[in-house]
Amino acid sequence: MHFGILHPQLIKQSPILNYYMSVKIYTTPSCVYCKMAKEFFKKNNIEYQELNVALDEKAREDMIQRSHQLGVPVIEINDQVFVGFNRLEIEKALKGLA
Amino acid sequence: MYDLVIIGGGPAGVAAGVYAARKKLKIVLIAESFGGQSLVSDDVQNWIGTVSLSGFDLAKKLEDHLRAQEDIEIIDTDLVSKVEKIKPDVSGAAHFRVTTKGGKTFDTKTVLVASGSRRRKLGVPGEKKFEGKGVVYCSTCDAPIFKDKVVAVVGGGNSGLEAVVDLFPYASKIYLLHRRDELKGDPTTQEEVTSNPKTEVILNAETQEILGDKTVQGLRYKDKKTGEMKELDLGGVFVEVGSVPNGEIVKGLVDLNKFGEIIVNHKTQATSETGIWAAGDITDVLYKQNNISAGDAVKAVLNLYDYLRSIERKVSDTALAHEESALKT
Repeated sequence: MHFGILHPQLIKQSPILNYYMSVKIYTTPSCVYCKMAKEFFKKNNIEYQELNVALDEKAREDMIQRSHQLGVPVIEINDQVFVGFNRLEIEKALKGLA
Repeated sequence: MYDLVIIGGGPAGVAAGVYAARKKLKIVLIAESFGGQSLVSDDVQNWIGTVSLSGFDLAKKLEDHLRAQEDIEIIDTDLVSKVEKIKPDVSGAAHFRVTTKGGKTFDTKTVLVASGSRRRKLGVPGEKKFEGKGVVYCSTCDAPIFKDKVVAVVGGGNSGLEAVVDLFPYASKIYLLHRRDELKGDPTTQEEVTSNPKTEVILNAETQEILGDKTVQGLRYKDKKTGEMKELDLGGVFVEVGSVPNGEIVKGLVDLNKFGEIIVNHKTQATSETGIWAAGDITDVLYKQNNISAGDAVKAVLNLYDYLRSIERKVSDTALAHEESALKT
């Protein structure tokens, strides 16, 4: 599948970005939008931590508390919480950090 | 000026894109995403040529096949907002303008509408307020979040039954609410659902309101037999009440049936408006299936290709006639 590629400058910088950027993706194994989100970050060389809320009860509680959301994916970039996977919205947020 | 604008990235849109690209037409395909409604399916076992694959992999394969074509323009993560008729060419053949939500416009000789359908909502108070906060439209995605919760599934068709099955490993109790006096859906899945002690089927139940505070806490329904209002205490409501066709973009331009589906000629996929074709779940096709959508889109492209060639001939004939009459005068 094709996912948006960030500006080359950003990719070049992304090891630096990773240094101060923390990305968490709350997922379930059967959720396709979670897979899309993971592929997007992989393609852009941005490290992320995946939290499978189907197994990890603490992560599930954290996710619900932080996002007030009973649905996945929930994506956290530093302290920004994104509900669902909207590629354009995530790209915008990452460009803001670059 | 494009020869063809394809609206949609499901099996119909992609099949059309592949065929039209091989005909060397000037095409643009506009889709929010690829794969159509099967995208969220865990396991698709009837896509001919593949024994089993996930909706995600099906979407990937479709997109890869489309992108492998030369000279096809693809606009993704955008949606078409309207299709309108513009000034015809010299021979009188219709031209159309397709506008996207992102503000792009494309002028074209023909349009293939393959915009599919989307999940139907209940349309009751509280549904919108609690979307993502206990109201769920993707049971395969979100069932695990409802571990040890009492939940309701609204809708007794196949997708409702499958949502119940998705919830078995997680929810502590599942009410299955259905408007009619008997369940629809496959007998085997019905058997699986009703034989599980976690399930309680409530028939003749018309959902009135989703209740809650920060998240869903319950649901009010009307017992259609007695007229009585009843309430259930719940941690989540899974809505599985069918789909609605995405036909708004061509409303007023082509004929729709009472369900909002585009009426097509089932031999050619032509709509009531010359120059516009439609294929897949957006149409009044009797069976909504991935394989059928792809096949119908192929029919549409072959037919619109003939049409494009005929108007080309008309245009050159008209030009010739003009030239001749100019010579005479």
